[in-house]
Amino acid sequence: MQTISNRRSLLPLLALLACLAFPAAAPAREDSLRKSLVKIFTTVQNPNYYEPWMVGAQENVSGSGCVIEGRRILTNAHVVANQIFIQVLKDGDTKKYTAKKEFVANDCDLAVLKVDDPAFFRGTKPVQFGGLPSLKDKVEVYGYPVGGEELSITEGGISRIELITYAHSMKQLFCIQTNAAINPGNSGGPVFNRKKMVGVAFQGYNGAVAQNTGYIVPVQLIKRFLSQVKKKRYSPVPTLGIYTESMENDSLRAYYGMKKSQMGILVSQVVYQGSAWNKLKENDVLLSIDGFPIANDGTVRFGRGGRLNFAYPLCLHKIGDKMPCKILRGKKNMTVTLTLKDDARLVPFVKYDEKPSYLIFGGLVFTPLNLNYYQSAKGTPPPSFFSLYFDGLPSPKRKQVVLVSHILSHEINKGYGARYSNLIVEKVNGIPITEMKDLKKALAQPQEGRQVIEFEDPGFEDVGDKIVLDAAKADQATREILAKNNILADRSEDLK
Amino acid sequence: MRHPLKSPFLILALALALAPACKPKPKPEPAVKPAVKAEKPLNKSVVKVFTTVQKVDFYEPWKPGTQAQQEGCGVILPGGHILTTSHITNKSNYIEVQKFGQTKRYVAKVEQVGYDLDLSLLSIEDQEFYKDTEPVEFGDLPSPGDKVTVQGGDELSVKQDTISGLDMFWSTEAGRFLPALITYTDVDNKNNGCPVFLNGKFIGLPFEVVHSPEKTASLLPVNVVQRFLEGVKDGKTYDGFPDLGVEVQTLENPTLQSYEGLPADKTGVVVTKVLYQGSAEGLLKEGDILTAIDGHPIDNEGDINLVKNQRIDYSYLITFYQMGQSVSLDIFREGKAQSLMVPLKPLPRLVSYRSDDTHPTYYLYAGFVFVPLTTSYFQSKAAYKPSFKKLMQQGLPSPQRQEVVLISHVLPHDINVGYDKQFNLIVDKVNGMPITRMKDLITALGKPAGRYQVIEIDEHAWFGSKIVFEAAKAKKATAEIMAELQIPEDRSKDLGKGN
Repeated sequence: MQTISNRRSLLPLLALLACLAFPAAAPAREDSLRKSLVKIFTTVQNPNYYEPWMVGAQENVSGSGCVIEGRRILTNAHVVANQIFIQVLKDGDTKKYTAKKEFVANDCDLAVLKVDDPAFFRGTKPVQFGGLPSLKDKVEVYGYPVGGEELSITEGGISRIELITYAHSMKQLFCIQTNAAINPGNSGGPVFNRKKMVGVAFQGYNGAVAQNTGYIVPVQLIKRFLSQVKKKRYSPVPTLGIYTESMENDSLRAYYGMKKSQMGILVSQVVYQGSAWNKLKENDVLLSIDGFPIANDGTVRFGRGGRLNFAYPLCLHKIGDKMPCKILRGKKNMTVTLTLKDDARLVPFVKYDEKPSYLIFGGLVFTPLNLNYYQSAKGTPPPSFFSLYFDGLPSPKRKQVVLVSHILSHEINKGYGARYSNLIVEKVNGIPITEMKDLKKALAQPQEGRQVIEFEDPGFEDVGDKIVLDAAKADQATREILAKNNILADRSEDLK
Repeated sequence: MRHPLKSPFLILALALALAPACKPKPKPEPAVKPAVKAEKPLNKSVVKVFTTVQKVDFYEPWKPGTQAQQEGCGVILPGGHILTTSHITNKSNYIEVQKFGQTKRYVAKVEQVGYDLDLSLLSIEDQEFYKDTEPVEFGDLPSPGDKVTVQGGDELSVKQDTISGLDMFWSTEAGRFLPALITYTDVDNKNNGCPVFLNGKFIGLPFEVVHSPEKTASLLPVNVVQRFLEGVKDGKTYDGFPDLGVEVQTLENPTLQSYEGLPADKTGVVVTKVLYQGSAEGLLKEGDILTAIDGHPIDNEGDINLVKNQRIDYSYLITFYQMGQSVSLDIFREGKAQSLMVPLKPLPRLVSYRSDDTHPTYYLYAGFVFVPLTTSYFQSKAAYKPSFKKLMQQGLPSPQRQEVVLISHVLPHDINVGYDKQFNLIVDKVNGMPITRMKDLITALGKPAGRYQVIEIDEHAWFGSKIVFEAAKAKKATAEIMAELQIPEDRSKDLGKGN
């Protein structure tokens, strides 16, 4: 099971430490790399997506980082996600300085911090970047993992280079795997090969699943991020917005008219408003991408003898770039050029540093479905949500899944009460609700003095149920509900 | 690109509980139990039941499955049959019954099963068994607060309980709501089928124990048991209890009531969906308001006042009808009151519940294992899939889909190279023909489109959309796979004979 390193993790090993006697530490050899090392302390304010007018619990986490050129600190995005206060401590120093988040790339889990006090950078030495290491190259991981307070250095080799799902964004990106120990707290720390930084340690496996399997954000993605930081605009790694099927079966290839020598993969679905929307079609065979020929198993060549998932070329691009694709459509060879876009999702993955979107009307709490909501919802959300999260695709008819998450009790919503929660809104007063923004207009047009809210067919229970409210009393009721529940605003900023 | 979000990590982390939320309304028990004289145990009527069950493997349905032992208890009925719960006799191939305080076990066989009521009726050939036994007497439906006794457990010991109410309660075994007497209890799962008595008379059989928030047991009330016995009278085979086949919404909100057009002096519930192939199909319409059933007025919460001043959901009444009988409904349609008779049919289901799955259905072709989605299949070692859970809990049949036909997994062979790692794919079409149920598969695979068999997968499949293989080689491949894996038949018996 993949877990994000760091995060609320200092507890388990403390008991062990107490029973060990430590010999006096021998003076360490001068290590210039230590001059770039920084320990990061973050106070996190978690959002509350179920009661979005309130904030969630606060917690303290710690991670690692390093000083880079331009008086900045590089770390993982997840070390400073949802932060309200960041402090940094130089290796060997005792004073913590206040730091601020300057840029963040959630998709490749990187962040740049700045420190206003120039005194902080005195005596520090920015890291120097190296190139992509090869398999078996020796690496050293610097950081502040669980097990103690002081700097920890672990050694190992590069064991794999591949596309891996980044747990912080669930995007599949270029990644280096090492057998050097990477533990909670190592997150954001630099990884060196021959004194040059080749990556940032960022995730590993729970020890019960796999050992000596740590993951590193490769230097390529770091350089890509920093070059965009210079231009003060970050572009996430684009996605193609297609679902594909491998073509390892001879009959399948023959059926689509491929020659014996031809290789490629089958496009089985094109995501609405993704990069390939209106460009690629279902049943196209994708032969090459950005000049990389795609094999029947969906891989492209990488380096000498290696193969990577065909999404690899995307890691080298940014939003808006053009990417040529060779395809076979109706047994004819064609070239199509895509303009690259970000992932188009119906139910977004966890968002960071964002305020939840909501609207309260007559006690009904409207909010869009996203993974944050799923995680904070009370009780067990219906299985359809899970299904929507995995398989749901956006369409012109549905750009967001708008929910009535629950109902704040008041006389106006008598009889609906606690029974109705987690319902997917289909129409309000006959107007289809494709996203949160549609609510405002629809609620302004009551039908014969009533607000009529219709829901998507949940299939089994509460099928076809409607919520009908007295329109004349609704505004007054909303004001009373807000006052009673100490809610400052009936909607989030984005809907004002 | 394969979707990055579909990592096994999340699938595990977000796994959900299976049973839909049920809504018990337990009434609080008095803090101090009044002292009640303990009742005499009914040692001559209560028996222990031992079963050997054949656990069918729904993942590899051609395998005979492994054996397991189960035990519970039962009660001797007037006429000599023994009543117990069907979940201990389900899939059993050997049953024994033991009397109180005796060591000898008598062989029994299942006479009738009511899976949807979780009831099973056993008979014993050896007349010696009945010596020194007494059949139970049926009691009346108890009232809240009545002190009852439960007899069961390893030693068929007696425990005291209090009835807290009558309600419709979710049965995991039956997969639907059943009338239930709720008790706070010490009864646990070991007491499968142990009878409950009031003043020495039989009043119910526990079918579900819920451990949270408080431990409660649901008893199938005596009147429902009697209705079951009525249904199997004179050797008739039990055919289940019917369902009205509608979804309704309660009308507690005055604005909703006026919106649906029900005058303020009337009460009822509004029909929000008429189920395909259900009893009310073609008779009721969306927007109809049910105001009375069988002459009993339905209130705005959907309850009727029927049993000793207790209010209970109107669907309670339907439980007492036999299949094919008609129920009379008063409705309000487009502002006018009407009455109609609805002949009753079974509850339509898209995914069969586990109690119905006695013999798994399967079809094997070119290494592809086709099965219908059933609860038992889902609970076998089949991989977790959120959309299955949705279909199981929320799926209703439609003309386009009466069964969810799956490729459960693929037995590897040259013919299916490239597809052999796939599993749990929902089949949409085969050779252009829509697959609405398992039987369609066999027809469609008999008509390949040119050289190839083309299987189209539901568009939300994680893996892709099409499986294509050579039609001419499929038959030989199937035979080779069956020989290699020692699979006796390419299909289950219900799909007819193979070639």
